[in-house]
Amino acid sequence: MLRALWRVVAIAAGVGACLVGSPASAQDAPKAKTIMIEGGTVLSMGPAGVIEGGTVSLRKGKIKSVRGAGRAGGMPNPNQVRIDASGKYVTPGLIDAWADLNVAPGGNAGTANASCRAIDGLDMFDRHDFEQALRNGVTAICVEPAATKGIVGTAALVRLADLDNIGASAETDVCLVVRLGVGKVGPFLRLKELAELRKAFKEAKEYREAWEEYEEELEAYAKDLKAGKKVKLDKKKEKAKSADGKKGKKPKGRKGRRLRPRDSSGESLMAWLEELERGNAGAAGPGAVSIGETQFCEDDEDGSDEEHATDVDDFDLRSWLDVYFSSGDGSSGGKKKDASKKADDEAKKPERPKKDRNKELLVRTLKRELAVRFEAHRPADILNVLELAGEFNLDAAVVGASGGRYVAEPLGKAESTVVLGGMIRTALFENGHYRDHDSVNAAVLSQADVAVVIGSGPGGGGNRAHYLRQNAAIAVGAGMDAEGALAAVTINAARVCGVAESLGSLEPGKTADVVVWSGHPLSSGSVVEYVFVGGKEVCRREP
Amino acid sequence: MSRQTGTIVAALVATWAAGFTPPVEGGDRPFAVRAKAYVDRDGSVVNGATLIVKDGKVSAIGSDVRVPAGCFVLDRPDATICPGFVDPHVTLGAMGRTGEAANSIETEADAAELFNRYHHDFDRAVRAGVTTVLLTPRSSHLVGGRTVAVKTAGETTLTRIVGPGPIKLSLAPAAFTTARPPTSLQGGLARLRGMIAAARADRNDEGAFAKWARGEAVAIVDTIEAAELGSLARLVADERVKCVALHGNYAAERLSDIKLTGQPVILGTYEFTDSLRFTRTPVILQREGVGFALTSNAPRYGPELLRIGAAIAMAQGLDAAAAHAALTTTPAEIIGVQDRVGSLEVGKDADFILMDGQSLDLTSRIIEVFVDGRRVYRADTREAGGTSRSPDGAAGRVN
Repeated sequence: MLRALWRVVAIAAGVGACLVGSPASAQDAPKAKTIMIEGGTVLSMGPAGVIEGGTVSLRKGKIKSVRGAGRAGGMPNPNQVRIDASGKYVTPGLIDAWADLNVAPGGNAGTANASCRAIDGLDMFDRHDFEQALRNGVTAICVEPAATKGIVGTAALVRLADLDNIGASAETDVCLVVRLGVGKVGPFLRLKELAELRKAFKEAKEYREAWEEYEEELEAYAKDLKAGKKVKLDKKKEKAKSADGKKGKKPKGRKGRRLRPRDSSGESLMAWLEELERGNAGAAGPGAVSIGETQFCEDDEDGSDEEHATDVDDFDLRSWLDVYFSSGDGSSGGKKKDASKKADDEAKKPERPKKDRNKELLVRTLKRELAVRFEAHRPADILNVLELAGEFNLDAAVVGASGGRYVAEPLGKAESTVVLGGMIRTALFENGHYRDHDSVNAAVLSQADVAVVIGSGPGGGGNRAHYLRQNAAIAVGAGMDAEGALAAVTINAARVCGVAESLGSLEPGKTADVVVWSGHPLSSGSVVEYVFVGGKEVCRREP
Repeated sequence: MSRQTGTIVAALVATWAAGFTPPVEGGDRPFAVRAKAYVDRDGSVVNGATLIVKDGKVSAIGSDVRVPAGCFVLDRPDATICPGFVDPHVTLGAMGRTGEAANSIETEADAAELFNRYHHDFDRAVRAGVTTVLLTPRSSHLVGGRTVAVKTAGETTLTRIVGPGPIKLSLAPAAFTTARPPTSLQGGLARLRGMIAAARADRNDEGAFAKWARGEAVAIVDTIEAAELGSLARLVADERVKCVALHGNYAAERLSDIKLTGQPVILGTYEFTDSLRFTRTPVILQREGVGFALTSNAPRYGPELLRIGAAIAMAQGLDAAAAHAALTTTPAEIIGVQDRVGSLEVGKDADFILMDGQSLDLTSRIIEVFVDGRRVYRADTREAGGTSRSPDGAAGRVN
């Protein structure tokens, strides 16, 4: 909830910055003009395909329409801004799905850093690199945590909507980033890395099972309570009270507000729960209301039972139960004994597993709520990644894949997505994992029906995002078809970043990130004429 | 005997590694290449190309050239013929060995001594379309010695040497260490001025340095930082010597200094990490009428970066003709081998590339490379997973 609040604050700040940043937009804001980009060759990268002499209209930050009609002619409409794109090319903003620009290097190497976030390491104030990217038609950049080994954290997608407030338009936690065999790692160490990864996912699986079991038990417990069974908690609480008058009330290690019914009989609790489920408790709320004979209150530091109001909309039943039933939890050993002695007329209080933030994230990947990208380069490592992803049913993509062309067939069979880095490795002596690199990877993989994404890739000691389209062009020079290479920096890139609903192609309703080029975007001589991000012109060709 | 066998084996390995296939039937017989277009001396693309090669030289080129009866013809209807690229600053095959550590001044050193034609660096350069390179001493020497222009492919060491190039100087920080004198930029310039005076006094000195000191030849001078361009400009103004600034990345920000030298600049290496501040330099120089060549500095960076560097500059608005000149005619003029390479004109060496698209589009692929009229590289069509982008199906035929 706190995070949600911060997000609201951040968005509010972002809007403010937009208005301050460009007075023109403040002027335009009340009228919300429609921008018509007319007469260009539209490479929509979506269902509309390629439209010669098409019109793309942008309104209120979204793409309003993509159609084949040419210039409408007629009277000038004061609510329209018309851009003549005849002889030019119109594409969605390019998305660099793999970059490390402005991310602080270092970080912990290991296998348990899932909760590290690239967004926290991003230098949002270094405008230069973002500006360069924009000036070359890149409107969104996916940055990864910089650590090089194991589970390194979550990637973020930075949209270059407002350079004064990059954070406001960033998608955090786009996917989990895992690296296998990156750097000069010998075969045995790579196997060890793999074993550690497998162990981490296995433990996450066990963690998930433990919690699922706990939740089942909790339901059963609630049922027992409903059936009028005696709650063991009462006994324990009384024991605790009688044993220690000062501290018995407050469980160790838990802070903050805690709600519990004053009389802890299961009947009244369940009565209230049912009320809540029916939605009737909305008026009453659990904060300071009595339902039946149950008085709800908060445990405060001083132990006084003051009454507090709580926002009912924010009320999460499960976490409430969680907190409530763990409140008397002094020693787990004793509880186990209790469980073994459990009588038929007693409701068994389930043991709550320990929370682990890193494992929580891994569980999200096991549930396929969060995608995983594995950076792996050597063919053997890539095959191991495929196996691992299959074993744990992960929504996985392979990143790097310098030696990807040798395992194109299994990658294709697994319907994989592969994110390739910079097409040209320029250094004289490469790191071990780039030894197999060849720009022909993109062509070979796409012919094997692998969804190919091209990023600028890390390395070279600097930002490379601004030469994204040249990387795509090199892939074409090495045998990939031009359409596939363009998809690799637009719609496929959006898919692997989980934002294909809103970015990556020119389709009505999508976010208006649009670039107008003087020629085909993969041709060397083409330059950027206009860049729109969120329907706002952020860049124009220098005269 | 065994040494001879070794040489032959090495030669076979070298030709195999370069993807060498016996060119067109009998390399010494004249042959013709018919293609979609060719790139002219001024960088313009001429549609309809017929190139006639005789004795390793261009015997005729144009859109209306008649192929003599009986002449072997390579039909490449989708290809564009482009002159081989010229790189004015490489250490191919001699990385890390182009300097004598003990001395900062090596006027008599000759980079030709380092030419190792069997080295695989040259094969990579061929694949990148680079056919002539200038082997240069490193920047750690105030006077590094003489450079040498060589072909990246060919039969013998001697035939591959095009000729001696300019003398190489360096004003870069790497040239001045506390280990040996001179230890500072001003100390280095003082030595240089003294040497110039001495060389001028001795009319019989025919060495490369003396020729440069007398203003008869150019020198290539490492100027990595902006301040060194100012020092170079003063040296040129005072001593009336000819200097080409190498790595003149600050050329656009020191325009008056660069204009004072009256020579073109060698820019680069441009790669994907470079800031737009530097990659805009060619556009500004073109606008100001200053000539420039690009370099890859291979093998420190890949020789592919020559063509990629041009594309990077074009993304900032440099036009194709100027970019083309920066890879061909301008470097050839700087090196002093413009009579032989840099453009496809009658009498010049038949060094050319066949590409399947616009020569500077990175989407185009280098299909075949010819040096001195012999095919030294043909793209492996299997590499791209069997795409039929190569015009391999169009086999040569006799007219």
